[in-house]
Amino acid sequence: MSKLVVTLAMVLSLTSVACGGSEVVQGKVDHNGVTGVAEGKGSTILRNVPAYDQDAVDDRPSIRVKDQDFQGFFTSKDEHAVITVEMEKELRQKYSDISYIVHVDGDQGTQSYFVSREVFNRILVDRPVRFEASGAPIPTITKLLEPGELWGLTWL
Amino acid sequence: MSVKERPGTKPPWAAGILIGLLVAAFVACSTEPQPTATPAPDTDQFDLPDVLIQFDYEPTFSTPERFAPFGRVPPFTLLEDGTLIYLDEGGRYDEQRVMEVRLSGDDVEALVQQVLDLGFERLENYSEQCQNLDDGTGMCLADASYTVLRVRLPSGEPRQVRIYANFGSDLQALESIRSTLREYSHPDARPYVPAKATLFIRPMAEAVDVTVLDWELGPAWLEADDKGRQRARVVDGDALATLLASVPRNVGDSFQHEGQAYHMTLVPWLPLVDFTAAVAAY
Repeated sequence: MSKLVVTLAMVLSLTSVACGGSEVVQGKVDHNGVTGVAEGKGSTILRNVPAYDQDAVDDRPSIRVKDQDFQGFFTSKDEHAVITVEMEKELRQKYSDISYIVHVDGDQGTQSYFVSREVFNRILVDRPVRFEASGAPIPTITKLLEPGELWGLTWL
Repeated sequence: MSVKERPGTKPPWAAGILIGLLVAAFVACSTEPQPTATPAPDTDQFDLPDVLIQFDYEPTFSTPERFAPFGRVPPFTLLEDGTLIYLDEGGRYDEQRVMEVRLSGDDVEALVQQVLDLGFERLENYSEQCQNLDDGTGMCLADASYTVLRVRLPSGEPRQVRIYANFGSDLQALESIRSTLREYSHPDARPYVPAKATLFIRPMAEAVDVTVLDWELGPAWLEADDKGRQRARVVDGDALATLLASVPRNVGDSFQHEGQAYHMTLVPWLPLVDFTAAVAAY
């Protein structure tokens, strides 16, 4: 009975998403990315890829910075991309638009979501995630339910 | 000039940013219509004789194995004989299982009709990474997956649509069909027992927050290839039965052998498909 109620609730929430409402999504983070537009052309600035990616380092998540100008942001030992305010300022000197995207693996394959920089920093690749999202056609994560705040830290 | 605005972005764009959108892997918004490539056909046909309904996806950025048909399980497949094989998400991501149930003729007919009523025939192929929005702005997205929906129409035509991200002409129909198939559950369904499956094994640096089982098939299965890559193998017969008996879920788990942890991904094959040659060439 409870399963039925949950199912119905999820169907209703998904229907509402298409109409502009919100839904609760859970899954595992497949990979993250930061993109931007420079000189009239859009490009991927960096990707945070999971442990099982064939280019990942030592079977751990890794960060592939595609733009050589920002290679210094991370080292090969960094597993999770955290973009600080200062980093974003540097990016904005080259890119006119910065977007943060999270690709979540669930029972529909991998679905993509826009996210704020602050939430992007809290979402870990290759780990479970649960959130509220709304908007169409590509939803934006509006509230992060899991993971919660870690160790009381204030994220940059 | 209105611009879709998201946290962390600074509108508006210059109109010139649209140049090169077709090949660029990026996410952004624009106030101008997006260029289009050579139009894809509105729909395709599929060549899977026994399939009545199938919901599949194709990644554009993911692990290598998922690009291959033998590296992922379509979340929903209804066959002509009433066999339904679907992915049950469970309460959490790590409780996912592939389930199987046999539907009656009436139930099969009703399910096909439901998908049609939700607007399947209105859906068209959409392969661009960008889409114009109703408010005159545009949106682009990189690395998203394609949704692939296949339905055998009452006329017998095997119609397939392939849609990038959530784009296309009818988001309401797409979302309604996807959610209906995604949320499908049947009280009589049982875990699917495939005749064959693809087995991917990779060593783990450490097993964190997971239950690690003992590996029971022997060390030869755990060997990497000459390049140290994850190896794909076909598993069937007694070996598959042993695996399925030792794991709580039929899509894989974590194991250990002589102190080394491994993650095993099991990809059950649907009936009437044979990926043996493709796996051997992987």
